[in-house]
Amino acid sequence: MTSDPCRELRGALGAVALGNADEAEHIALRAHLDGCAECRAELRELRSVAAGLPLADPARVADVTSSGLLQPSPTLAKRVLGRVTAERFARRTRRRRRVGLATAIAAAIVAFALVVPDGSPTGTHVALTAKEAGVTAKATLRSRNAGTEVAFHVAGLHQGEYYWLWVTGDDGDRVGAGTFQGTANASDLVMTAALPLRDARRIWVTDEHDKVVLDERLPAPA
Amino acid sequence: MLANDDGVRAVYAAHGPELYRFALRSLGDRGLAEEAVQETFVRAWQAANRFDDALGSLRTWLFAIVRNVVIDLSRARAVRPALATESRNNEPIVIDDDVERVLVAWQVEEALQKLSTEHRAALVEVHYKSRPYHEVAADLGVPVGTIKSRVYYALKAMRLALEELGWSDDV
Repeated sequence: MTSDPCRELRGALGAVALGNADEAEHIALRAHLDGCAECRAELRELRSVAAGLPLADPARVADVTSSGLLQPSPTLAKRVLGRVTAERFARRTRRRRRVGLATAIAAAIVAFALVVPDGSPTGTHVALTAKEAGVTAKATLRSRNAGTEVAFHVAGLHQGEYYWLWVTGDDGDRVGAGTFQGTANASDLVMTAALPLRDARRIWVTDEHDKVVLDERLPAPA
Repeated sequence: MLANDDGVRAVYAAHGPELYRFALRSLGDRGLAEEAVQETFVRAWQAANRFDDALGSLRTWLFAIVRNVVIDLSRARAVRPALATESRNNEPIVIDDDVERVLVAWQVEEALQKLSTEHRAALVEVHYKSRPYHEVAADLGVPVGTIKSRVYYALKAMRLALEELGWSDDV
């Protein structure tokens, strides 16, 4: 767009890109394009935009603008920060673990005693934080050859609805321990997630809509 | 950039909501979309030393990550056992190709949303509603040339917005 002919033909350029130009516009633009590389390049760019238009739904755009519906929840910023902070903490912990294994093992014994106040030598006891009113759950995690066994006691879930129990490893990947159905009364379940207990960093439950209903961070072994 | 809390907050403020909108458009579920945004920030933080701002914008980089996160979450959902007999039609199951298609659709919609009301209205009438330029001009009481000019500037502005979102011509 360097000279006045280019400027004058902008309307025609848009119409040709959209495919709704009239005959006179086609002729005028064709004559101009032969000698103007910039307008040829611009037509190419605008055609690429025009080709994408059918994928979009302008009604959806209007909805977004008018309702503001598509904003994330105001607490998301805080949760993002929480997750990154947890990762940062986990990385520091892993680094420490590499530094001195003997010290780490000694510390782990102490940490284990702290995490397991009720004295069970074979399990890590966790009370999960409920993200939905009326739900309570606790879990005992045990190290097994097959992975982390979770003995799970849960109450207050919706009867008949399906839930997933997840354990997240220190690499951030989640591993499913299994699915179960909510019951009217409290239920006791035993499920196993295929990752070692020492790598488990989070235990959580999601509902059919992938909403987190129970969640708890697990302390990394020191 | 993501090394401390202030950095994370700043990057979230600049890009969090649009990452969320893309994830929501792809996954069709608010909870899962928020999970995707959190996961995106974790992966971005983990790989922060691989981000080179000489090579591209932070936004383009974050969108490359969220695209993978969306694909992973879709796969995780697809391999789960069937839940209920009734279909949940507000929750599209998307996999790789679909994610690409949804990404393009979402980019176009974001670009449309950034247009001024006048420019967007001209494009919607002329393109989506296939109305003749002169008719739209008469409705609005402006010369035909004005509508043509608005359509041109709408496409031009969309092009720039799309380039910012990592648009490439081979889509």
